[in-house]
Amino acid sequence: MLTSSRYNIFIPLFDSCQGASFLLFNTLSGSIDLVDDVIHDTLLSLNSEDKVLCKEFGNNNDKNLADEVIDYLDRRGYLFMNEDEEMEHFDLLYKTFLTFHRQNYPQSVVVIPTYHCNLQCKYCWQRLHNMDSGVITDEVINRLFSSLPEIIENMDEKKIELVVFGGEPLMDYQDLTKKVTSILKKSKEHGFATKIITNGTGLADFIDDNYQLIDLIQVTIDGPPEIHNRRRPLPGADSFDLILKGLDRALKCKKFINLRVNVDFENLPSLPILANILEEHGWLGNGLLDVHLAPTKNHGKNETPGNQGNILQSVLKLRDENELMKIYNLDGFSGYKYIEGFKETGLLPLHRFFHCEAQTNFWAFDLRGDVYACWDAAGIPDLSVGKFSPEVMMDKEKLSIWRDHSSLESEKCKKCKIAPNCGGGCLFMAIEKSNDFLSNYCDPLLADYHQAITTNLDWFKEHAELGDHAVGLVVSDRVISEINLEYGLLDR
Amino acid sequence: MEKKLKVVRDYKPVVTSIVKKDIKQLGAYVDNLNSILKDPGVVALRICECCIDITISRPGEDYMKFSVK
Repeated sequence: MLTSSRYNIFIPLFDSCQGASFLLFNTLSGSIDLVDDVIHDTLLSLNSEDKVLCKEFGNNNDKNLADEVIDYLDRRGYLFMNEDEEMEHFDLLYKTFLTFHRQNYPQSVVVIPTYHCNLQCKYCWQRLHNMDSGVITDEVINRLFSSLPEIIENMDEKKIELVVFGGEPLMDYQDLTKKVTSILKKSKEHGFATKIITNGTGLADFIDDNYQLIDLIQVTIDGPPEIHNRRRPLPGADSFDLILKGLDRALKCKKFINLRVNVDFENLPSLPILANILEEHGWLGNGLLDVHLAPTKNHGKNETPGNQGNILQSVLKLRDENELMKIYNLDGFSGYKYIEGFKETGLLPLHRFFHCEAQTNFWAFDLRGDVYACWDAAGIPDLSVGKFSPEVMMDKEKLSIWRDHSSLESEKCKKCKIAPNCGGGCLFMAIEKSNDFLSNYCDPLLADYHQAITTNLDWFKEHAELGDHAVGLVVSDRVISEINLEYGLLDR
Repeated sequence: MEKKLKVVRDYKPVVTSIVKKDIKQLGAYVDNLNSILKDPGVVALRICECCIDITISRPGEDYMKFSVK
């Protein structure tokens, strides 16, 4: 029986646009069109449980929907002959694009030289899991580099980004600095791009002698001094002040800095003050510093899932009220990022049927010789997927739990409107909350989409009317603006 | 409506949404994407750790790639 796609999402336009009153968005096809009430009612009725009502609607709409409209709705992916047809296409896209992503992604190689950290951030999952350790040895470092070809599927050095992570990698702790320098030197010898993820407190002391070894530095700062120091305390010292010194030195060395701000309702109101501090230092607009907001994850068994959709709403509201908030890149809110990308290109991100790189090609190697497929799982031996030292010994079954995790695993997920984009959610959070790989920890992607689309409704209407972009405009008796570009704006 | 759709599909097998492509069409689509990927001077696909997005970049102009975790 003819069916409308289970991934159709309708968002009311409030003010009609040439007869259209809904924005229709499909998370599987990535299509976005403005449609009228008749199309809205018809598509909804096709999936109604009430078959009589459905049939009646179908009969009515045989009269009301023009041939060209039915054709258009079909090829935009809003209509299928039956549910099986849609799922066949879902499976085909899933296999095709998972392979595509695995082939084209940068290859992350994360090295964890220590789990020790000098900060005591209250939301840190590593602290919750009591992670701590000594420092990686030269032997393990050598073993790491020699084992990479045995473990990494796509050993193209131009695509490899070696990331030094922790714990905190830039600390005066045992001989950590020497080991981190050694890892970075070896990476450069192998032709890898290099990145350090640091809390920034030891950056100033490290960067002068080593800046040539690093391509990108990620530092986290959570607000102006009083807020940041409360959230990310350094016992006996001012972590904010040390971070600013580190940023200053690194920027003077012309290093790219990715400044991450973990955001939640506690620190959001203070972020314009932080923006002002960065501006006063003259660091904005120099092409070296990118400041992005990342919603704070609610780690811990007893923590409830976050309300990221609401935090995005509050971020956007504050941005409307305060010009300084525009310095923050909102790419950490996936749904928002994808809609912004759509506005530039006319295409949503190519089908990512996965939540994160744990499902594609991520590898983390720690000081104990363990290999992990997930950032957050690193340090929990039960969740390792193999060893690289003293010998390579991979556990295919354990690796498959991460790599093959998808929204196709459960019937509940398959029916969810966001299934083509979420990959079944964060596996680590699912384990942390329920101790069950299949329990599904849903992320707020759908809420983000709603928020981003609602915020941009005027933009969608304007471009649908102009017919100059990838937004179509269709009513029951005709297609007003047709989308026929396969690659969005790239076709031009 | 179902009959109409069958007639329309037989008459005009135009595909613009990738969700309606068959395996052969999808293969051609991906090949084309790969060729775009290899031509960063004209357009660049921005690839980050969680998605592949497309950015149009002007020839000769570098853009910064930031990753978001």
